[in-house]
Amino acid sequence: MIYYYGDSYVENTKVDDLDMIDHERYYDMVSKNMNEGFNNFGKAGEGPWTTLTKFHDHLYSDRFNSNSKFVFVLSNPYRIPWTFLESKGISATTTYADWIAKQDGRDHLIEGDYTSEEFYAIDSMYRSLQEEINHQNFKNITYLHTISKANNWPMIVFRVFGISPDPFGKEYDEDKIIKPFTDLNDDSFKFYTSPLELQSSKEWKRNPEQPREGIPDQSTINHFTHRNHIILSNIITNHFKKTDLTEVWHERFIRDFEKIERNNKQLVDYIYN
Amino acid sequence: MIYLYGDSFVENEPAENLGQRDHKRWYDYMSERMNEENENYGKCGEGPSTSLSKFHQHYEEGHFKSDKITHRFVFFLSSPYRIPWKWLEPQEDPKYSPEGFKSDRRDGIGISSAYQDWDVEYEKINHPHPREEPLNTEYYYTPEEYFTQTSVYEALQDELDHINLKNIAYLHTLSKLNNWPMMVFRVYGMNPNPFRKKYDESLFRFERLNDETFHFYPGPMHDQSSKEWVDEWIAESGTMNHFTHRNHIILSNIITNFFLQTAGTDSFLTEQWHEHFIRSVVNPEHRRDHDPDTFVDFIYE
Repeated sequence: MIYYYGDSYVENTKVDDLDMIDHERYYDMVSKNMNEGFNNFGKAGEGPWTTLTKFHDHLYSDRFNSNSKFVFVLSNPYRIPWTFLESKGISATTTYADWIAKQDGRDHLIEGDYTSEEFYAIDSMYRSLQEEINHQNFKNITYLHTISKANNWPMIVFRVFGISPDPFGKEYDEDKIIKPFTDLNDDSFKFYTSPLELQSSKEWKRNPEQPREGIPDQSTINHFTHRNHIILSNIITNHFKKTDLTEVWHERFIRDFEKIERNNKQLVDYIYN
Repeated sequence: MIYLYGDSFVENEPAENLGQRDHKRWYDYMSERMNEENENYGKCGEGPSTSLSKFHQHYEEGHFKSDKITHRFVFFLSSPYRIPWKWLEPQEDPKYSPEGFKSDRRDGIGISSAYQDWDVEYEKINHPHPREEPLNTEYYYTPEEYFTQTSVYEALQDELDHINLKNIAYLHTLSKLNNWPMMVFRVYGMNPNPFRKKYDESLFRFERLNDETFHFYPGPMHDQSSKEWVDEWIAESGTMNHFTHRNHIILSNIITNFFLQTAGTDSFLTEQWHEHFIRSVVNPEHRRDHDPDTFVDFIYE
């Protein structure tokens, strides 16, 4: 059984939620390649703290066995699962975005409704644990590596974002910090260094007026078009099955998107080069 | 060079602060036996988040870059619930120091005091004792500050309970990647957490990471410290680095045996802790009387 944990790069989202034409997802493809079932515990918007808590719950409840395999996609550690927001239905992603908006003086962009105590707690936590949060995913990678080795569980770990700059503008030498962690990679454990969000944005043709690549519309399924679901499935399959499928991402091929009507529904479609 | 990070089990605290007759500490013995100096970055009351931040700062500033010397490390990972809140800094505004509290906030609050105070308040509200008078917090906290602590502890409970396992795995990796001999201790076990949750620690036998360059010592140091007492209850925590002299020697032996790889050789020194030998304490008030000529005394079996 292959277990998936992570955020929107993992969740088996209903296509209706994205107004997209459905297609086979990378986890379906991996299971087909491996002839093995999967359990997908991904949830859009969740951070690595929640991802690891789910994994711990499953670990303590003895869910796994010697044939278990794991795919982790570690998202933004600034996504905190505040219990005081559960009843308000405000997600960890929204809270983080709202906090950023507040820092930037763009209060009109704040979506959530927070008490002053709640906002104080959010701000206080980010400021007090900045270093801890910034290094969180490195700790997660090494921790998962240790768990993988201790249990002989094949595992592949992706990250969604890089660490630099952090929300306070602190810059890290990303290459220097990340590079050594690839030394952990072997037959059973793999840390895929390139952040998936960066890879998603590279699906789009670069706009010369935009200094950085951005994603004009995020409604692709798991943030990738079909052709890159195949690549992602290849990367995972290659690691688990020792195959040699291409791992070259398709890049800069979406020029624009449009709304199309199909079966009386408005759907998003992309215009390719 | 041997770099030391951690809390009160590490800090080279003046004996006067503890009302103690000074004696050689475990890091002195360690350096003597290794014939190698140490840099001690330990600080009473700090948690692993602060210990690791110090280490990251040194690492990223290139402090351990020189290839002319061997860089060795000893870490003591304390309670992850000790969070370095920015608002612990000194507060001059009298609103932070109302009457009725043992200490005021003009000198700031220690990280561990903030956690202890939160625990006192949380227990008072959530698990009041039917007969005993509730304890009082040492400092005053604003409602926002208390709310922040509770919110973070509740939201990140699982993370905080597992963070030292992550720290061990992380330090193990850095040790391997840089060929740094490293020894890691933890001060507390995982059980129970402040919300009274219990974990099956046997699922995480991280001592299987141990080899010639990395060693995780699984027995929590706080437990070992309490075993100095006949009834395993620490009546007075004023021993230096929480150990009496004889166990400073044992701690040094454990560390130096590892660094010098003496296992199975004639140079191996005993690692057998002295246990259950303190019966009681006399003159505990001398711990805080600032008189260098008066001491706390322990009565041994």
